[in-house]
Amino acid sequence: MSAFQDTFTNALLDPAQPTPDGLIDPNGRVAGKRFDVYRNNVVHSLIDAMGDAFPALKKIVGEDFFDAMAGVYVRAHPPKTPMMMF
Amino acid sequence: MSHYSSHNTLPQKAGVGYKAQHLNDILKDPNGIGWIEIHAENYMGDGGRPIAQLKHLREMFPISCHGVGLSIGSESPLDTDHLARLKKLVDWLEPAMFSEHLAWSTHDTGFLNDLLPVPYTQNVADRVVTHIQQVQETVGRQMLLENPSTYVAFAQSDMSEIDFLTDVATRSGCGLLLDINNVFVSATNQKYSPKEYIDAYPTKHVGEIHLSGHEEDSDEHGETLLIDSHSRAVVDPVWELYEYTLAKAGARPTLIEWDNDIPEWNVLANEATLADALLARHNQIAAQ
Repeated sequence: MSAFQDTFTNALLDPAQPTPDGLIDPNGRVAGKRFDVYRNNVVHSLIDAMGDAFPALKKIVGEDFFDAMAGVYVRAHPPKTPMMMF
Repeated sequence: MSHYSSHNTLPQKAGVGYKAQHLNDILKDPNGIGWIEIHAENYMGDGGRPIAQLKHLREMFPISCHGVGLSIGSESPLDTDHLARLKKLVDWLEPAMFSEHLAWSTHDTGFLNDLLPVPYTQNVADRVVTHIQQVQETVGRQMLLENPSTYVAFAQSDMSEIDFLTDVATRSGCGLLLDINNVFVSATNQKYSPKEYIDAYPTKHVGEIHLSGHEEDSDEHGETLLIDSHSRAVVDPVWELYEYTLAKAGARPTLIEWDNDIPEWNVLANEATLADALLARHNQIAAQ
């Protein structure tokens, strides 16, 4: 049972992985773009949280660079607690 | 169960999700606001400005405490450190309501900061009941469980969301937080009727209603895909579904949620005024 949330999490953080088995749309098709909503929510909300935590760095390197860098970081090192302390 | 639910004392009025940038506007004219809701995880630190503000606000308004990080749908055991932080907050805040989500957000890898979906099966319901009981025993009060916005379905699900929520509420003794925008988003994405969902919903368990805005997109097959973004005003079909729900379930404390692209205070306050007007109209009709 615990394997499923492992698979789900790994696929969330690695866009190269396929949609986990068993996730479907209302017509029973593989939920491709629908799963991507979760991928986007996770990565973008964590990038935003890093931007809130490091406003000066974001200003220095610029938003595009910061977001790209933070995206790589949060996929590799999501925060350890829901208090969003990186 | 009854000694748990007696803590829940939100008024049957509209409330707003609290954002620090609105503090001065709120303090200038507090009379128009029935209550405010805060996200528990924003107030788990040891002090500083957020907690000082909240200590001030709790003297002025009933507070609803809405958790976003307990990960009740997690396959792993609940994080007891996080539960202890929640207990500490609830103990001093003494909120008029505590609620969380039917979702998971924590994994061994870390905190994923999204409300991720669970399949609807008896095994998952058992796990959710156990987790809710642990939360309620820890904080010493009843919690409300919120229905999710969903974008995918699970092939393995063998219960409806309604049957799942009813089973969990009945066995755990929790109440339910009915998010009307989530109903509309999920019903559109999963192709069922939102009104039929409300018809089947166990409304006697509902202690609070949420309203918010969503974005519209489409999937790779051109099917409508609504995203629960909390980034804009409540849309008309959701207001209509709210009125439909009030007629069926009766008045409930109703929150306007707006968490992204946060507007000027008056825009948010106007949404709350509209919810209050619909609550008042419902009460008038009900009294006739």
